[in-house]
Amino acid sequence: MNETPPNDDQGDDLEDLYRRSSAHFPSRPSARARQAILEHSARLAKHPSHTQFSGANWRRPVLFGSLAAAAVACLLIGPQFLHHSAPSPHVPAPAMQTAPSAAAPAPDNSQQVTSTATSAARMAVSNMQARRMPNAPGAAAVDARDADGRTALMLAVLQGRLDAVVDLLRRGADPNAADTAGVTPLEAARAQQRPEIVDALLHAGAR
Amino acid sequence: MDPVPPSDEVLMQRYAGGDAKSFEALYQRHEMRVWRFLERNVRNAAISDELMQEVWFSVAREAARYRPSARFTTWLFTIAHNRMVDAIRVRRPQVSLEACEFHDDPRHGPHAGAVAQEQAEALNRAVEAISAEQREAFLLHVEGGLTVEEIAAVTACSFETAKSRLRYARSRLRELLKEYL
Repeated sequence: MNETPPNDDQGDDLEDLYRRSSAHFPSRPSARARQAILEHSARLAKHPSHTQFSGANWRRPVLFGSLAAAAVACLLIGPQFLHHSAPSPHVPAPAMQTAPSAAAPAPDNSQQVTSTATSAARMAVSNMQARRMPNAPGAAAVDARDADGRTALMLAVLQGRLDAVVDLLRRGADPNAADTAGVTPLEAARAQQRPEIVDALLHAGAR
Repeated sequence: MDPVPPSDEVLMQRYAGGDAKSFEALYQRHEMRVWRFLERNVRNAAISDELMQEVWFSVAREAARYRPSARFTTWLFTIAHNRMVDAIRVRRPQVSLEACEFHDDPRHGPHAGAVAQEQAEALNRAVEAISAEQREAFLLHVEGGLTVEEIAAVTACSFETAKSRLRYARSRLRELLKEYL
């Protein structure tokens, strides 16, 4: 490769081709994502104060905060949290750790799998609440926050990770820890239309 | 109704004042630009879908802190870049590096012009073929309208590096797409 960048001042034809071709881009955001975005924005519009918080700079990368929260999640529930293939928003979250016998959801039995996942999550949360020790060592670390004030639990909710949600609740995560915009995990789960996660949060005392 | 569509900056200010419709208008205006930026870089529709939500959630949350002195698109694509960097670092194994399969677009299908479709497929393959740094610089420019200086600021590199990446990207793309130019 040359040391000197190629002399290219004729970008217009290339950009014209790019723009023409963009109309044929083979995918678009899911309807679920679009709905969640617009519902979230409408909710915040009703409470403009939620869009204001101090101490952050939009140019500051959120990398470190997000990594901190992710690291907490990784330490607590294992590296599979980070190496998990993110579920498609179109597919209900499989009941992984909470119901290992559940098969991968088939397209035509998603309702049944969701129900299985919900039941498993409910049982897991019920069982863990008997053992839950809010003052146990590490309880505070579970609720470490990223630059947007999101806890590992909130990140798990946003990723639709029922297994991670259940694990974090089991480890004492605060189910009502709102982010800096005032959005709670329960609100986020409802916005994402994840009834099984909503159920798990409600059973853990989310309001 | 405004005779001239309000600028992005005006819509942002209206949204910060509580007008949800302004956010919808902004989202409609930039939805596919942000989507293509994410999808072409991440090459995983599910992760791009999550990132799309994170980007626009951030826009909504931080609306009140937006100042029109910064162009909205620069601000928007800075957020998109930051979220994408998070995703790539945290979920590296899942951010697909394999070639993205080109699948049929149900919006166009058999009615789309064959030539246009062929061009679009060639362009998709070409964009995938260039390096990640060059690709991002090019996409920030064509999707976000960012200048070289803004690309340098967003990607935390020098002006010369950003300029070089953009030029190499264009040069390589032109070479790969010469039969369509």
